Amino acid sequence: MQQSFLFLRFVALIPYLGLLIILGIAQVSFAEDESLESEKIKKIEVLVVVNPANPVEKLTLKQVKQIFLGRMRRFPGVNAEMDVVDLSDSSELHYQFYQQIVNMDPTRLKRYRARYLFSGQGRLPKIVTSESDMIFFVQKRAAAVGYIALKEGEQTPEGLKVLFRQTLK
Amino acid sequence: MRLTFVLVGMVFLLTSSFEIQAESEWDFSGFATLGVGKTNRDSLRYIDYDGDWSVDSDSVLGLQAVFEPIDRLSFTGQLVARGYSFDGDVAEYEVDVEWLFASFDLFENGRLRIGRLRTPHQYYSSSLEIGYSYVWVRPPADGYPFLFSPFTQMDGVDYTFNIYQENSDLEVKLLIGETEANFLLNEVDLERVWGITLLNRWDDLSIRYAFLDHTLDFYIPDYDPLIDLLNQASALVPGYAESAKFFRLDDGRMRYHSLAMEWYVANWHILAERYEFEPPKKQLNNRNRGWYVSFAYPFERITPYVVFGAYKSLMGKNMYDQLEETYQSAITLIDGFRGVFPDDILDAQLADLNALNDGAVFGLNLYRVSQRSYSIGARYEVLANAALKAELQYTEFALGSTGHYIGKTLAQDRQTDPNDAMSITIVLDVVF
Repeated sequence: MQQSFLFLRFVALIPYLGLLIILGIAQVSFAEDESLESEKIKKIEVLVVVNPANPVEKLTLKQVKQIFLGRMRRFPGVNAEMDVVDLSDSSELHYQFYQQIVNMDPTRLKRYRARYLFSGQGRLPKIVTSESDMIFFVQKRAAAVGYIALKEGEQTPEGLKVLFRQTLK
Repeated sequence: MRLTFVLVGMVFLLTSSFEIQAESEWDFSGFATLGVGKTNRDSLRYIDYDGDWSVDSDSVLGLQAVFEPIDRLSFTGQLVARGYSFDGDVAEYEVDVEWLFASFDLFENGRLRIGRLRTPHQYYSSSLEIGYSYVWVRPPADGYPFLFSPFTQMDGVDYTFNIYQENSDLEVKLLIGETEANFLLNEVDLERVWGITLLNRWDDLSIRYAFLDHTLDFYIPDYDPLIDLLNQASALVPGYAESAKFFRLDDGRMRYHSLAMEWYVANWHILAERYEFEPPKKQLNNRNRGWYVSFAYPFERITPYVVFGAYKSLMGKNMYDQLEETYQSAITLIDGFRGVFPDDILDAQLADLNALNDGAVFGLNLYRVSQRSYSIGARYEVLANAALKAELQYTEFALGSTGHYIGKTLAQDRQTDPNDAMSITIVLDVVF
């Protein structure tokens, strides 16, 4: 009697085990998807883009870092208004951009930005949810500066001026 | 203080009447900390924690609005409600205007701010209550002593500019302002503060130096009876008039220096700070200094950390020497009357004198404080905008003091106070 009771309890556990296995597989496949995504990211180039009306012709890596960390608030050399636009932190490109170009990991960036915002140093970048929104924003606003990714062989979208480019590792 | 509101208000109204650009907009944001903690000592308070669990000491809510009507000009206002304030005149969760300033981008790299601002004593001064912005539960008390709480904000002006160099940036800030506040039993009127901060940033290393010069009145109402007695005694021995001056500060100049370093190396986050407050020698000569060093290492979403630090506040030796010298002169004077006046009258005078001297030394010793602290804690990134932290802090007291722990009564017998204490705190920091 006791043995059959144990057996029933074991049978009752099967659906839960199944659920755990499914979740495990999902996690593995998600990880695979992520690694595939990373593989794609490795072959792309990041471009820092502005509106064609912007008189600035070039930015250095150091200036790009300063701009996206809020330490440079106006366009260098021309003293023009600057409106920084950023992708949301759930975006892979955002992650790679800050990790490889700005040299700041996401956790450190969040702490940095909280300190920046609430210590009265300025406003944070405007956040858009996709690269197409980023492109649209920069095309529409003369003061905008943002970043996009370009795969090998792709052309820079029209209505954008590239001030800096770097291939991601 | 009123002048600040009037100035910022006038600039706001003037610019609001301009033809405002279509892109002008308001940004609203906020931050909050919910903290719970306790200590292992019932007789002492640490912030407002004691032997029972309580929630007010670290809890804070802040709301901020930024308005940018035209290019180069913006207004920022920040309201903060704290669960506990060292200023006895501020009620629990009373709303305080923490920031209220107009900001002008004067040049390409320069920015002028006018209004209610944070005084930039330490590395994290400007985001002291934004728990989300640092790894600890709260900035280490050895480098951020509670004694500084009346000085955290000022009404004034600062100008910040950047000098971009090949491998680093130098940020220079010049400031001038004033404020007034209370700290526990003390009234502080900061008539003028001016200073400069220099922050040099490389990719992973930042070094900061701050110099601030304060002209202030520091008044402790509870010392009034002692000051009166010393002044009365000065009719007998003039030296006591000098001793009376030690218990307050009028137009005293205090100079502050601090050096900080933040370094991200091999995934470690190392932060160290040291400061010194240099007082005037002829009045309340209270020199205090502190330092800490912090090591944090993130593992995915969790960042454990350790902090070591020390703090010392000393009354100048000249104050004790002067008091002792005056006391000895008074004894000599009383002894000189032996044989002239009856002994019982002279003995009564001597007893009064001893009580006065003991009271004065006790008063000076209240500001003799020393401690060493050791903290261990961890920060866990719960959500993209929320962090949960826990910290255990062990503090050793020295110089017969109870460090940053405060006796629940002023007349507490220091002989029976404990030599150490421990506190535990858990906080949830959110930004939105």
